[in-house]
Amino acid sequence: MKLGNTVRKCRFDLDETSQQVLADAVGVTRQTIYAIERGKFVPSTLLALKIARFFGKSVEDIFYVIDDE
Amino acid sequence: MLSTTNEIAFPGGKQTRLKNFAFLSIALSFFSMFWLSQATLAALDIEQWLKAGDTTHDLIGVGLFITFLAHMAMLPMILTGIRTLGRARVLGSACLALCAISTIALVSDWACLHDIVRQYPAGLDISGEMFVLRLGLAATCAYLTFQIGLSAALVTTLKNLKIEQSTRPVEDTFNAVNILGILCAGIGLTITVRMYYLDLPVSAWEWVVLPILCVVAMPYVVVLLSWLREARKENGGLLDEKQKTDLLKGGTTSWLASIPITVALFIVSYVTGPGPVSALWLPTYLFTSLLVFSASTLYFFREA
Repeated sequence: MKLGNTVRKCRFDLDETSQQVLADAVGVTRQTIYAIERGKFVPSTLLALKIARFFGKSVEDIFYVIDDE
Repeated sequence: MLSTTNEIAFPGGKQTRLKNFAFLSIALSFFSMFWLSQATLAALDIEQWLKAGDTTHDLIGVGLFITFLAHMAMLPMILTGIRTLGRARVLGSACLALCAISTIALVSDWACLHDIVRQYPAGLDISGEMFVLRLGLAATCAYLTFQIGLSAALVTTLKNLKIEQSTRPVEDTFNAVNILGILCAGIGLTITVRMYYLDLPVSAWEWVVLPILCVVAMPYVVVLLSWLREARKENGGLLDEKQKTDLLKGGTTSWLASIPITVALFIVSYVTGPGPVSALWLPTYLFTSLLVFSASTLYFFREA
């Protein structure tokens, strides 16, 4: 199982917010946001909640499980 | 000394870079002073030095080269200082001019030493080369003394400036620390490997080789300690969770890499008996581990 996310889509939906703005808002580096969007890094529960709160959505709206085929 | 006015404010990122350059500059300046003192002793007692053989000549040659590298490392700090701090412009410009003179002096020192080594054994007159050599060393020493003063002044000034403090994780510093680790480890490993081929007496390991390698590692240690101190002030807030994970992965990689390195060094030491390996296994191990750690941490951080 892998963790998928819609962070990139949410950013573009929210006035094309940059990775740096999101990173500053949730207290991480831009590289971390980039890694999350690429699915290379699984964020902690706290960081996932912070990202969800930034977009005004629930965690399930942004993060979802991708089942193995 | 520079002004310690509170009128200047600039972003935390620039402040961090300037501080890093200042610390690096101070560390390298001390390293250069150490080497230049060796070169000055050699210049004062030329007959003894010429009898010492190729090993000493090589060591002084390596020292001059590293001092040259130190000059290059100081340049960004001086230029940043000139651009950022108005009051430092005069001192910085003077330092830049001295840096240029000193670099030329270093090259002429190297050329003079090269000539002396060839001409003196042949019974030729070397008074001209000796004069240029001493002049060059004096110019370099003057520059380095000034450089240490400027670096200390910059640090003092930065501490007293009204600075926009950064409370979020800084990507540049993380990259800079790891790149510096790669550079220090690379230089340290190069020198260590070179030492394997030098026929040094056993006593030389204690008073020449180990201090040199300690000084090579010093810039990394100084920057790392200052970074950790800043991180502690921020209660660890300068590292985000991915950076912490990357450090853990880098640590694991370097630990795994250290096992075959240690085994190889042990086997070589066991087979060859007392010799360079029994004295140089520690710096070889440390610099290789540092190289693997810094390179892998940087790789994991950037791989996404």
